[in-house]
Amino acid sequence: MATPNMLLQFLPAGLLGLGLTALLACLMGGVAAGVTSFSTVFTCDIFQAFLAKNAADKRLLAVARWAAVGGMMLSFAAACAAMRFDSPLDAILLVFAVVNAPLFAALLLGAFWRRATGHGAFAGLIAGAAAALLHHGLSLPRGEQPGIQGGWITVLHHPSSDLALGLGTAMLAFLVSLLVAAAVSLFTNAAQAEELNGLVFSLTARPPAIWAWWKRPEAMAAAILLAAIAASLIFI
Amino acid sequence: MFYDPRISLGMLFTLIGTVLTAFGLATRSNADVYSKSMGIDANLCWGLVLLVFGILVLTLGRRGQMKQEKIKK
Repeated sequence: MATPNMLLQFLPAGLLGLGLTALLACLMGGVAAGVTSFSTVFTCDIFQAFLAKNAADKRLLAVARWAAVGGMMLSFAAACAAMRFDSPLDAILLVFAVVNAPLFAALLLGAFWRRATGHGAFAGLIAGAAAALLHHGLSLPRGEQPGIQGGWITVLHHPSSDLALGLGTAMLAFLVSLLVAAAVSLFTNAAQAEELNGLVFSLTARPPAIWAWWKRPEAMAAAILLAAIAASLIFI
Repeated sequence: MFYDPRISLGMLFTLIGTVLTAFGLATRSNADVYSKSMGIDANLCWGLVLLVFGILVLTLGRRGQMKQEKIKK
């Protein structure tokens, strides 16, 4: 709510309208992207892949439309749940800790270790998400009620804040996912080297670096990292 | 046919910049409107910024379009 309040406080009539329009357009663009991708993923990857393999286009279109409606309903529910957090950032952090941290571990392992297998990655994802949920269910930030903010199984320990709980959950999910994916990969059959061509870092042909230094991703990454450190030091 | 998207973006920014600059010039002497923004004529400032940006984008877009059409010929 900081941006709209700031706009209302400081912008004169004229620029205020433009600012609010830009803000709304930005929000609408984000929502439209989310709704479209939800309905596409549901229709193509779930409905068409598992539920109705030979469905006609007309039916798929209807399913996609209703999936968009369902996605909006789900996001209403998620917004109501997120309101119980002190800040929406904590809710996003929780979602990222449960969903994205295991995904990140599996992705890293798959990109840099050629022995990693699909079964290992899937087991790692499930185990990481389960560990994250378990950790979230067993710990409660100080001064909060058990429920969506944690402690819905039983309260074993108290992190100092929502942020500490979210970061701890994410780290645990990442580590568990990494270990389980590596262990399961070692017990399943390795993929052939030809299949992995271009997918794993060590098996991908790298063109010689001919770009100027300011066009290379490494230089950009280092610059962004330094800028982030500088910004943290300035606003600490 | 190749169409450079910078042209329509530049047109949009130029249009908004023109409207905002005109509004800023018209309300320049009206202190009530600008009491919120601490007496600064923010409409005029940002209108000019948007106008300059829009014209820049439009010029770059037209140049890109010309280049593409020359390649085609």
